[in-house]
Amino acid sequence: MEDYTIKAMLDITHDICPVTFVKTKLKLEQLQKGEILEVTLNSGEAIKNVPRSVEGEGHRIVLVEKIGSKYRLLIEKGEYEVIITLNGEKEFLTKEHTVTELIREYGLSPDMVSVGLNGTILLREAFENTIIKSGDSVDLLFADIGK
Amino acid sequence: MLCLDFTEEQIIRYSRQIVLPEVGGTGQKKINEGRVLIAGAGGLGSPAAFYLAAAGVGTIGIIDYDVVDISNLQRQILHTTKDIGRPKVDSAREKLISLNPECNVVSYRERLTTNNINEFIKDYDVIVDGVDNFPTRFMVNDACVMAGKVFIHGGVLGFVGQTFTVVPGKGPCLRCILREPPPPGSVPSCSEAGVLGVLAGIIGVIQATEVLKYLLGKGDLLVGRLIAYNALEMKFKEIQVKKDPDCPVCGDNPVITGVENYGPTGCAVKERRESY
Repeated sequence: MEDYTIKAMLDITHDICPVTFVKTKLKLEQLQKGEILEVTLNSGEAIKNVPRSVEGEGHRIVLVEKIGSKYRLLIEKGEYEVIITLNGEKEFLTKEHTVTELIREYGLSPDMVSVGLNGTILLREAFENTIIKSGDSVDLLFADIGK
Repeated sequence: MLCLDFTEEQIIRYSRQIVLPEVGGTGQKKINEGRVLIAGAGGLGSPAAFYLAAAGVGTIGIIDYDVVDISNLQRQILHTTKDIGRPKVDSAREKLISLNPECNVVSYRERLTTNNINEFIKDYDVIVDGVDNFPTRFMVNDACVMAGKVFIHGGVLGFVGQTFTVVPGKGPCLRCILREPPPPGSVPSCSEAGVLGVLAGIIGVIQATEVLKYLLGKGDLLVGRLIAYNALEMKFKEIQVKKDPDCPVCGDNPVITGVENYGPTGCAVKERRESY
């Protein structure tokens, strides 16, 4: 079994949703990237929702362990640094990407798509050198459908 | 380690906004440390102040000289029937503290004048426009531009309202759009033209949203664009507004370098003072 250095601990067995997640989130916010938080939580609603919400904010669940009626959860702090709007939906990214990298991140090829960046169509030549920043609105449009 | 020590009560009170990725504990601290001056405890100031206190803005200053009149109650939701005759700032302070006892509400029963405006705005990060007349609105705009304070303009009349945010140095100010206060008598005041109460609610709440976004440093502020809302058509129109290099207060060669005489501040025709 792997050994983890626990940086902080939290007991949320006396809390209910959404305070369970809020307390976990606040603790994680105070850690550095890569550090581990140990959370004790109840079965049922808490174990169902907290890990999911935590992952949704870019952290990694490294261990879930059942102890009696409770659970022990180890979370490694991750970080979303870049929040963009992608085809109208909010997307969280761990770092800034070039347009080419972003397209590949979604398993697509830069040749397949046209890209709208903040409402303007981006020239294909610019994909490599254009960096998507937090707050940008990106539309990936399939240019070659039907080919 | 980042200091995010919240009390149990604070965590629960603000949980619905701390969960938002754009807020979190760091953002909540920024809101808690925010200092906002509401100029006018009337139709716009009421909803703005209510939501800002609810969100946990640490210090809310409210300046208004008037007392509550029964005709205010249709839209000035900080005040109730039993407050009639009381100074608006006292009534406002009581409601805001009862909503959120953590909020430090500072009330000033004064009129904003050229002599006191700089003193009032200097301790605040953001100034919310809830004033009831153009000369005062221009005075607050000018003072904010000169002091580098964010000013969130709002205005309502009839079924229409408008709002935009002045961030000095970054975008246009009120004078870039409208050079001078309109001459007295040319613009109907609310007591003449009337206003649907909800209009003040909608515009005031947009102003509060701008305050929160500014404090959080998130999202796009209404800088360089004005929102015009028409309740009858139920349409929001966005109008691009540009910083005018010839603007007398924020332009390249400003001619207004200090707050000056802004003319009579009463309602355009009637003497009876009423806040929007």
